[in-house]
Amino acid sequence: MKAIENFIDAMLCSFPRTAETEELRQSLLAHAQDKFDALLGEGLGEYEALGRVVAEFGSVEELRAGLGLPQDGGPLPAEDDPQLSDLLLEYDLFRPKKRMLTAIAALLIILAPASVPALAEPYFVLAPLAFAVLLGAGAGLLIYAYGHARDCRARIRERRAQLGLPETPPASGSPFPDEQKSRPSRRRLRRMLNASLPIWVVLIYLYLGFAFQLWHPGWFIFFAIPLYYTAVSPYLKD
Amino acid sequence: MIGSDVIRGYNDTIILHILMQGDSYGYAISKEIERRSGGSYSMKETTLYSAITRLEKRGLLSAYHGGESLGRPRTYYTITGPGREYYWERCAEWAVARRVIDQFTSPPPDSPGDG
Repeated sequence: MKAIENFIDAMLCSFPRTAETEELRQSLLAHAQDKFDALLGEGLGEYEALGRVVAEFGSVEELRAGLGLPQDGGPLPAEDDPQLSDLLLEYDLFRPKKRMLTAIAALLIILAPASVPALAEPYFVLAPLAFAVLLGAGAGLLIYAYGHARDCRARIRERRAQLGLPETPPASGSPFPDEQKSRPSRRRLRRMLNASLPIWVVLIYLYLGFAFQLWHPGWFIFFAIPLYYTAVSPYLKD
Repeated sequence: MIGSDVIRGYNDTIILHILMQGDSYGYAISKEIERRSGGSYSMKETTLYSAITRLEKRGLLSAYHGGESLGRPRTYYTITGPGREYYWERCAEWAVARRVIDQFTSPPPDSPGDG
């Protein structure tokens, strides 16, 4: 029953998001659901059973004591803010996905020009379409991956500001230390390249193609994208 | 129903006693306490899990995942060696406490002013 889950979540909403809290949440949830089912078995109605489960559950202060949390139920240290923990977790989980999306995007962009000579005569008319679809998909993935990561970082910064935390997080918990350590000029250069490199590469490729008919060897320029993100970008940090 | 304040100091002992009989999970422990006490004592969920967490931190019991039943994950608890030692110490302590409290709770044989 969703109401039981909501009740447990509300009870634990001020707890830090740790593995220990999650274990406790699972145990409490299973327990409350078992009890709810037993009460239904005794002939109680759903609302009556839910009322009994809630009324007999006990106090959140006892749980806090069990976990060694502050007794007064006061606010947690700002660093343990549940919303901030969620945002940091979301960003951490997204980073490997971002790398994977970048790799797929680079592959699609490389395949785009390669698809043109690959399509034999009867299908050659489809070449511009294949080129556009692959290029568009690659560019779309890049925009999504980097845009979402930037949104995550912006939300983390915003939440930190709301909590009155310093803009630079402690070194160990820094979600994006490279940005914190960068000199402003390098940071600007890196941001500019991160955002616009794929577009520049496409423009250069089109220029090489139209101006010098270098459609075929020219597509090597697309290797610059993964090369930049894996080899060059990290060195620009400090 | 006994008030929780009366038994508070012995919740840990009660839980350890149930686990001395075999590994168990939260809800089953709670039902067993109710059954053994003949319905006179029911441990609130927060009291139970707070005590379990505390006992686990002190190394007196340990938890393990025991699969699922009724589609719910079950965390089982097992008593450890130090948990057994602690249980027997608490039993001995209770024997002394009961003798002391009995001195003040049994009706006196011939109270002054009765005759």
